[in-house]
Amino acid sequence: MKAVYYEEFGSADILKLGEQPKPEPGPDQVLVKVAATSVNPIDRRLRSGELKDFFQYSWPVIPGWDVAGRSEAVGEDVEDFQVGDDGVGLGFTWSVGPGAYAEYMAIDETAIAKKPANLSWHEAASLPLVNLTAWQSLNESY
Amino acid sequence: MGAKGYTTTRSKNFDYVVSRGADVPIDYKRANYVHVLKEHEPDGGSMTLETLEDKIYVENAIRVTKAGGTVIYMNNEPPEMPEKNDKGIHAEWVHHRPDGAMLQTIMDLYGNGTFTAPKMEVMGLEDAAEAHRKSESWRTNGKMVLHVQDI
Repeated sequence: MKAVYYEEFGSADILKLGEQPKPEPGPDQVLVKVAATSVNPIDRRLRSGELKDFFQYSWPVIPGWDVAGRSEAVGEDVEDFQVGDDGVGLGFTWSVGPGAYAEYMAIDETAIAKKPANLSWHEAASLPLVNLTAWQSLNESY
Repeated sequence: MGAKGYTTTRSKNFDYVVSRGADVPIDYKRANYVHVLKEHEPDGGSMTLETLEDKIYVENAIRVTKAGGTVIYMNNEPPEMPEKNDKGIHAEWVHHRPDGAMLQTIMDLYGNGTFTAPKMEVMGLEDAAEAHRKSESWRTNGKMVLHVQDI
């Protein structure tokens, strides 16, 4: 599948566009055909190596935390997502890759929600990381 | 929520941030936002969300927060300053956690129109490097989205 990835830490110049293996969904995962992803500051902070002590990387690293797309396959233990469902999700916590800068992404069922029909793919992809950060900041941080 | 929200942005974006719920926009190029906040909220605000990464911004966030208040920041280094302890401020590096059920609650608020999506700048997946450079320049105009494929 087509993906953007990097094989070392560095500037934006290290991002390559090329072929990477299509992920296989685990038993608790949904395989999403990716319509859109978004760029978050954490993408470049991980790429530069600035945050390397805090995160586990899956090399070569396909970045992309936010994903919007259609379920193409589901693992055997997935209960609430079916093939063909439109989803929106946030892929990682303290690890990164393989992410959503790619045609397909496998994501845990516990990390994905159903996309409201009135949101475009682009709109949906812009939301998960920033909304969960704001929501958790407001509701859990005091 | 009944809260009063202050935010920094350039004057040209005032209408946009007010449309997104800000009560008082502050042009950080024309005024020192720390002074402006001190003027409006002499005791400080209840909660400060600082998304810029340099340490000075986190320290400023602590300066504009009231005793017993909360500071949320995105820098991985914890701020150490006497004022934080003296005022009993809770300062935390918030790192999101994926939570599909919570995300569904939020998505339902977009679905029923309570929330609306932000301004976006859409680029192609092949433009990812350019998108990262733009992100590094802090000169983006809306949330940067990468279009991957038509569905």
